[in-house]
Amino acid sequence: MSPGKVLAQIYKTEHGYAQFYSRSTLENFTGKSNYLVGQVNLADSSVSFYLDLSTLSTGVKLRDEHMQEEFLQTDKYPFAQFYGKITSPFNPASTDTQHVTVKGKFKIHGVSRHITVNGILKKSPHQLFIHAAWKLQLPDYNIEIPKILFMKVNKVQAISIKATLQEKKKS
Amino acid sequence: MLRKYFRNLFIVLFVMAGTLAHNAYGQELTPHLAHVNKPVKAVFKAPTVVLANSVKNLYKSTLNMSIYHTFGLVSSGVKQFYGLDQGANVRLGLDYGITDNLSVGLSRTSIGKIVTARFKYSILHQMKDNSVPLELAMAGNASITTIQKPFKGSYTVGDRMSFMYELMAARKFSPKLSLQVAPIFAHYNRVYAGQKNNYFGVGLSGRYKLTGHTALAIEYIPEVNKAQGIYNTFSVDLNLETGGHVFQLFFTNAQDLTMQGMLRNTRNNFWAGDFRFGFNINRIFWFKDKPSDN
Repeated sequence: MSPGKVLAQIYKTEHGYAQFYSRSTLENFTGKSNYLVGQVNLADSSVSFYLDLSTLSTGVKLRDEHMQEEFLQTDKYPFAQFYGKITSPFNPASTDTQHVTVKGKFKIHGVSRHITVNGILKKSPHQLFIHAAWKLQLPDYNIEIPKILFMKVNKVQAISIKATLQEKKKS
Repeated sequence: MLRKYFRNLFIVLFVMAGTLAHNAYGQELTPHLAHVNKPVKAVFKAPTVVLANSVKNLYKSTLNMSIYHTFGLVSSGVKQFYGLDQGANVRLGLDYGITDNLSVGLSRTSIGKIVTARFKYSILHQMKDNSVPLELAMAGNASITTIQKPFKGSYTVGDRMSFMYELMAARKFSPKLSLQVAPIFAHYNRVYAGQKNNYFGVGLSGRYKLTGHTALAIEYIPEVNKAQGIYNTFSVDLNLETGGHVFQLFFTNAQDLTMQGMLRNTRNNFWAGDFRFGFNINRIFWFKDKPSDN
């Protein structure tokens, strides 16, 4: 395989979308960021994503401050990271929507765990669209379950990511 | 010596080059902080470092309900149960964020029966990229004592008033350490014979984060040209910080709970062992939940 062909199979973004959806006794809320960085290599099936957690916003600044300072401790653990491989069969040449399974290591709050995520990918000329969702258990990552005022946040957080990655040009 | 240095440098460069080449071929990304310039969060966590103002302001549409409570002198001994039996002073306060940079508040303090209206305005926010290296804020209050009649003869509403103005400069030096310098000016319209009308001090304070939820804070307010029998206020405090609450547990030699009173009226010497126990409870509520994009 020539290096040129390998490069053509690498897609990258620095402005993917990531969110978590949180249920709590009083109100449900969503934290969002448009700073998801990711790279997918269809040649070797590797998938790598990370998010600067300080870019997550829930729409209430005080809540963001609690979340980042006290629960995620972003000063100490600034990133959520995933690195894994697409383990299900897929056709790197196809432009159809393909359902894939990705297995790998997810790290947040200083704790790494192996996870399996189901998602879709869709290729178009020079672009790759991806979408994936999974559930995260806060205690798995030693994240204290936030009790904010009278409400208690559920220990399960629904995570989803969505991004359109651009084909990486030969430099 | 030099050869060894170059050899080490060579090894470092070689390893770096290897790492870069590795990344270039679609392996795991090395994370970098997003280039989003935002204000540094939580330079201080509570609106006061201990008893005097911190640069921390309230976000828009948040309400802080606070109770400050100090007891009598610990040195009063077991007879007064180390100050818990007598000499208590209680301040009840409500503060509201009108914008992210302006908050106003009302409070009442039991000793002196003082009602205080205050404001705090954030002038500058320390930014993550250091384009602004400091947090700068100003605060002021107007207070009125509602005690019956401390003076003979006429005692007008104006006579009952006192004022405090303050400029605060602070910096979060690391995720753990924040320091603040704050010149404070206070004025009493009417004082007892021999007392000054104007007071000037400089608040020097800091917060050191111990764990995710606890921090140590110290506050020292040296006063310029202070009267005999008056001491500089010194307070040392443990903060318990959880979502929506900041509890502050402290020892201080101040008895007055207004900032002008701390300059005018601190009559105990902390270093002679004359300090009292106190606690503040800050409970912060928010009112709006508007979804917003970054």
